[in-house]
Amino acid sequence: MSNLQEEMEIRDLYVEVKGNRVLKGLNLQVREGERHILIGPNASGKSTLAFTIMGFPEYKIAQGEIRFRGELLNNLPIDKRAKMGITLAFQSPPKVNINFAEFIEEIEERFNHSADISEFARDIEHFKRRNLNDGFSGGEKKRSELVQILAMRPKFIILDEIDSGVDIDSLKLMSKVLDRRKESMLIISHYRHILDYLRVDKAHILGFGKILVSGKAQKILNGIERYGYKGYLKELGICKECPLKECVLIQ
Amino acid sequence: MKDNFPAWYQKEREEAIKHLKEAKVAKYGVDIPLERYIGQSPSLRKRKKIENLKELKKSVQVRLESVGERVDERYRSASHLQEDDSTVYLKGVEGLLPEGVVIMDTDEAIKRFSWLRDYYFKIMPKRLNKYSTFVNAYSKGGIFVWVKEGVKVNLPLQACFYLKSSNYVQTPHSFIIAEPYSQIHLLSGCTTDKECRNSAHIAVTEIYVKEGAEVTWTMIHNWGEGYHIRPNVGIKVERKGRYISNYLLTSEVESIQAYPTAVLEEDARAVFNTMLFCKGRSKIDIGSAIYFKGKNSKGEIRTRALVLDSAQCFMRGNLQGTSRCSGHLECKGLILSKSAQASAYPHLSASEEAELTHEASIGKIRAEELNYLMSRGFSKEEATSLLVRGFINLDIPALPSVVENYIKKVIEMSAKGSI
Repeated sequence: MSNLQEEMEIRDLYVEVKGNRVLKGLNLQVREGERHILIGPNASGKSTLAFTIMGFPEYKIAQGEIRFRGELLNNLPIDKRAKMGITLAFQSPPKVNINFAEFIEEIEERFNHSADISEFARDIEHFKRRNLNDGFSGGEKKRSELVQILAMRPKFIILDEIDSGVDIDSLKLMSKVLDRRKESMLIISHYRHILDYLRVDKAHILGFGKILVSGKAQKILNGIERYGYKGYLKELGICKECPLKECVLIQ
Repeated sequence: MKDNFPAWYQKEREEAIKHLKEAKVAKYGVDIPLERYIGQSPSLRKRKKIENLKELKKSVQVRLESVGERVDERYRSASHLQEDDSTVYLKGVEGLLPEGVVIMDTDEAIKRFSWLRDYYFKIMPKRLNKYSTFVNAYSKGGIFVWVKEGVKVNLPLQACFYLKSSNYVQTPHSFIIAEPYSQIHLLSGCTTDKECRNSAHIAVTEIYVKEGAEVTWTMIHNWGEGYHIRPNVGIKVERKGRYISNYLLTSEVESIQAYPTAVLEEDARAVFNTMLFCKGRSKIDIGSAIYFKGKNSKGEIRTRALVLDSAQCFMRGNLQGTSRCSGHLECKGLILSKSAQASAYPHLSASEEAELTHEASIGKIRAEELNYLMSRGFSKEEATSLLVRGFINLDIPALPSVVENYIKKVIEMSAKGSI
């Protein structure tokens, strides 16, 4: 047994969305302070996992359990999970009719913590006047997401495609801030280049609603880089078990 | 009452009474049988005048404050209070109401100023419907505000229409006459005594904004179950004049129907901001209309309705552009309960050079937004109230802080009720 505590522990998780089973027996453990990257093709269920951990009611757990620091999350409402320190930076946050600066203040008040926006926005004043995600550029949306979750005294950070739709400068800036943090992280991504700026411990490939491969981040991402999903999974001998016609990876 | 009125006015009333039998049912809103109010008098014949608003019972003061009236009269230039049919208080605040502003009870003004005949039912058609005819026939009281040329009143003038008697109809006819390049803000609150039941408020207000003048009218309504409300408002905005209307309904009513209509001359502007909390079994039918008669006139109508419980809300808007003008109309409804209902009827009509736009939407709170806010640690109730606040907020600068706090409370309660 390691002396490091399991932060997030997901066992045999089956999740249904609008009657469709998206996750089918997913297992994942993230220990304290670890950073994991979850990759997989489109529609493999990456965001579904993020929303299920966060507790969105439309994502129904049919089987299995999610525990955070030993506590069962399955039936806890979203806000309770947020207050436990589970945070999610959304891939596409919705536009909300609330002034950005006022919203940050509301979060700060709730978590008795002050957010440092200076690092994220060179144009803070401009940012402050606008409504949440209203007319934000791709990079602004992601930076605003980070400001929000860092104001929440997070313990567990889920980053849903923080690297998509942003320019390289934004990505560098955000990675620099994140790299200093000690919280455990689950990074959902399509791409490997976030690894150039952010230390990541483990990687998992998601497919068919479960984790197909787990291992050292560098090794797995190098493998995908070299062979592609299809080739890499073949190389590992995983695809042999798969009935080819339902395979989303190998087409 | 008949005694001292000028002959023209007495004739007006006699004709209106004759006409009332055939008067048209209003185009919109539920029909109120007016017969039941005819001949009714308030429970006390003569209202006692008061010297200071603080003389009022604490429970009355609380009601007044709920519609933005300041009992201490701070930050106000003058105060008015009409209880049922009588003006019981009307005073300028010393040093704050400039000379050149005349305020009085409308009945007094009619006796005093013969020229008022030229303004009497001149912008509001007296035969528009049975309510306008009813006021023409039976009006009592109302506030008359006359701001002379170039006079600017910095602080709002507060007026309050208070319903005390049950099964009674209050029928004020008010005037705001802003002479050229004058400026005034009228803050009027309408509310009821906590013991009062099943009464009505049928009013006519005529507003004349002359060249380069600016009139702001902020109207806050806090009624209660069982009240029928028909404020009929006509506004004429002359060249380069500016009219801003802020209307806020915070309580349940039996029914409200209003369709304030502004006619704009060249370079004139009008803005209507309306925030409605449609609660209980309220039947609300509110629209605003702007007729752009003069070139380069501009206007905007923005309505936000929060529809709760089993309330019904009809939002109307009408922009009529007959010259080179620009106008925008927004009707937005947020439905917070399964049995609530909302409808939007935006109407635009334009000649070639007019530029008119509209935006209408009715919907409920989206799960996506709710999840998002909850993931930031807000409970469902808090998230709902944040979203409601964001929805209804029209950034009305003139709103008194007590009313803002009241809105916050109403929103929190609405959010609680909707979950």
